[in-house]
Amino acid sequence: MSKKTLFLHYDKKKNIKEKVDQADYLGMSQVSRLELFLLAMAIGKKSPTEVQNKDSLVRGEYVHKDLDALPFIISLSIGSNQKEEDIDDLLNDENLFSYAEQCANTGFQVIEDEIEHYNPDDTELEKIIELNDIYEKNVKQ
Amino acid sequence: MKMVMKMRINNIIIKNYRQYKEEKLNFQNNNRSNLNIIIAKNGVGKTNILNAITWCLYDNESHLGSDSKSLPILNLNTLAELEEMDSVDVSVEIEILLEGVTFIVKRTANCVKNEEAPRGVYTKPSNFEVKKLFKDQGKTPEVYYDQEASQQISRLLPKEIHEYFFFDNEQLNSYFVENDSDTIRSAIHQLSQVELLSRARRHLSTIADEYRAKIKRNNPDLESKYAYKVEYEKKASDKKEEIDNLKKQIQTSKDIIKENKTITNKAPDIKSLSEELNELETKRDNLKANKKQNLTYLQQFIREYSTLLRLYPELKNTHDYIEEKQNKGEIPVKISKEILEDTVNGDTCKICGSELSEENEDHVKSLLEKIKFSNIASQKLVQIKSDIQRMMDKAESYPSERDKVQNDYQSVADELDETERRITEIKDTIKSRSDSEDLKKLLIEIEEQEGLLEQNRQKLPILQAEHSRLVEAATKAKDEYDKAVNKVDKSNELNKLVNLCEKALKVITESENELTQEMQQKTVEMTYETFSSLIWKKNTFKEVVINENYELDLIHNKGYPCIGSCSAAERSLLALSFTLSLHKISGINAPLVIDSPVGRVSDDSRENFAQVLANVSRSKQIIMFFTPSEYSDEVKETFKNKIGTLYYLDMQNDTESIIKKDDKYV
Repeated sequence: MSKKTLFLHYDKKKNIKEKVDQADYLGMSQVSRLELFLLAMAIGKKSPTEVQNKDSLVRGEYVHKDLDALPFIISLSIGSNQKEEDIDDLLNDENLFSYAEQCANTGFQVIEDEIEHYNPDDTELEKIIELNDIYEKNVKQ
Repeated sequence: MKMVMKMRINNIIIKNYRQYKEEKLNFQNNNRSNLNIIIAKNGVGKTNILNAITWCLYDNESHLGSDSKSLPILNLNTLAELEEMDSVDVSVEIEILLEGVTFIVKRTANCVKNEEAPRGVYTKPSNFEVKKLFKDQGKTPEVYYDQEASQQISRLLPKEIHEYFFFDNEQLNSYFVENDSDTIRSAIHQLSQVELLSRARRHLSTIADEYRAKIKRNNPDLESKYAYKVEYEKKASDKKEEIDNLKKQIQTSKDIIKENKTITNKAPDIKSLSEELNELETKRDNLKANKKQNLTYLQQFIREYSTLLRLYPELKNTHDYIEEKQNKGEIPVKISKEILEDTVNGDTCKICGSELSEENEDHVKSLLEKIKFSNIASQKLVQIKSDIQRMMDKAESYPSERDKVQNDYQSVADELDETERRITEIKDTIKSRSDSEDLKKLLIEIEEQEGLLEQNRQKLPILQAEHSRLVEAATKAKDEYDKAVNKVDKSNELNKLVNLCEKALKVITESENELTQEMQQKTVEMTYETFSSLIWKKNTFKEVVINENYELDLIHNKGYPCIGSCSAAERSLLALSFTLSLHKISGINAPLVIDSPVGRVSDDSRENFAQVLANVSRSKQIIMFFTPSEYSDEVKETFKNKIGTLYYLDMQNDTESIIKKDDKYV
């Protein structure tokens, strides 16, 4: 049975969605919670952190409906924890979501820091330079 | 849908109203269409004919410029001919024909010359009269006065939606780009006829608030929650007022710019430069909208690829992993791991039902060891493999996609910079060439107002976002207060009354929302139907959408919203389609009176837009005002043989305009 709601934990005082909306960082005020979550998950993928005071962010059914979300979340788990004996456990929705939440939790902190030092004039150019580096490192090699 | 009744304006008689001493406009039908045209240079009085119509029908001059505002409604020549304390009538009479009934609508205001009165004239409150003459000779004409006459007009051309019958080109062009969702919201609200429900809701809310106040007085611990609720409601209402004021400021700036330009454009030494400036400013506005749209695409690209490129190694590992397992024949699984586990845990085979021997049990156990995936896990992996491949392909195409999206953004940004540079250059030249101090003042004022307009336009969405947050906080505070109230004493009589009010409010609000949503849906569907039947670029736009903030957008065939990057002609057509759909839905096939319909439309699209208007005029009367330059040869050719009446307005002297028929424009 798949878990109905995907939970994300964050300190209510650090309300990320509100901060993103206020700053309209990279046009994020217009994006869905799921898109924001996946971005945070990708950013925080190397250092998952336990989520405190859980509050729901995205319903599980939206994850299953989205064409990219489940492949991202499954790849995150399999790609970073390949152990033959754990594979069934890993692919269980509850575990998949839990690991994704932990990565996103770290990612949200990074996004929050970026918003604090956000300069609307340079952000897009800086981000393209950053993406060029990631492409060279992750895809081209 | 209601039955659509055809309505037309037969004639307008204007006496002593503003530039017009005594003029009559007769609007005739043409066999093929119902097109009536009035041509006049800027400042001659086109817009004041539009004002004469709205003044007559609603006692409101909706399109009055500030130069006219400073003048009395009474014609200045007539005023000059009067002796002190003499009086004379200003009147506008409109003859409207609807389904065999002729409505003669007349507004009259008596003016007394009095040097001590503002603008030298005292204008008494106007008298309003509607006479109904029936086709059937035997039926007695009916006459209505003042309030009853207004009620007659309210049925014919409701005041609340009059801006969908009588409007100017600025309205057409800026309909969907000025964040003016209130206009759309109000039109849909009016059409849904939910005002009665809204009034009931407001009344019930007041009653419920009174009961709550009583409960609060009886239960002091609710004080803080109540104060919190009131505080946020007040903050939200103050913010809304701030937004309304800002919108008024934006409109004032636009009016001042428009009026000043009307004067500066006519100055002989700078005429051609002013024309070039106007064209460049239109181009700049379009480029700004394009730049904004392209920035949205660029940001979307960055967000998408930020996720995709970061997770590429994991996607690739997973893809390789699935492929390896498929090659080894491990997935998809041939025997269900779950069934084998059940078999081992029980005494019988879960496939054939026979008893399990020790030997068979060992065999099942050895099979189980080889199967690493449950059915669910195996299916998940097989299902996502092609998606992962698609996502990897997309990640690999990053350099070419990046170049495309960056180039699109940069080329528009460069063109905008160049246009702005040229605008500044022209403005400086105009300033240096203008020898009159008055002209310089007007030019400086235009520049100041343009700066202010830009600032305010940027400020508006920020205030709107803040308002939404405050409304959300106020709703939350109200919910918390309501919960606390409910806890106090459920059996309390006052609570029962509050609960009753709330239940009724819930039903009313739901019905209100349902009706509005239904009308909203019908409006967008019909707008798109009309738009797609009229648009000259076929197969470019997919649908019209409206979001919860009542912001309309046009969806490109490729799926992205594109109102910001549409040309002024396309935007005007969308606004016209929206208006026509409102006419259809409301069942009011009213005439359209449009001031400068192609004023903001670039030269190459004018012919297309004129063709659209000509098509519309087959089923609806259209009265349009043009300047001679707007009424170009192409527009003239498009309207050939379709015009019922064509008038030319000219200046009789400095303060008076006269209406002529002039063949040179036919």
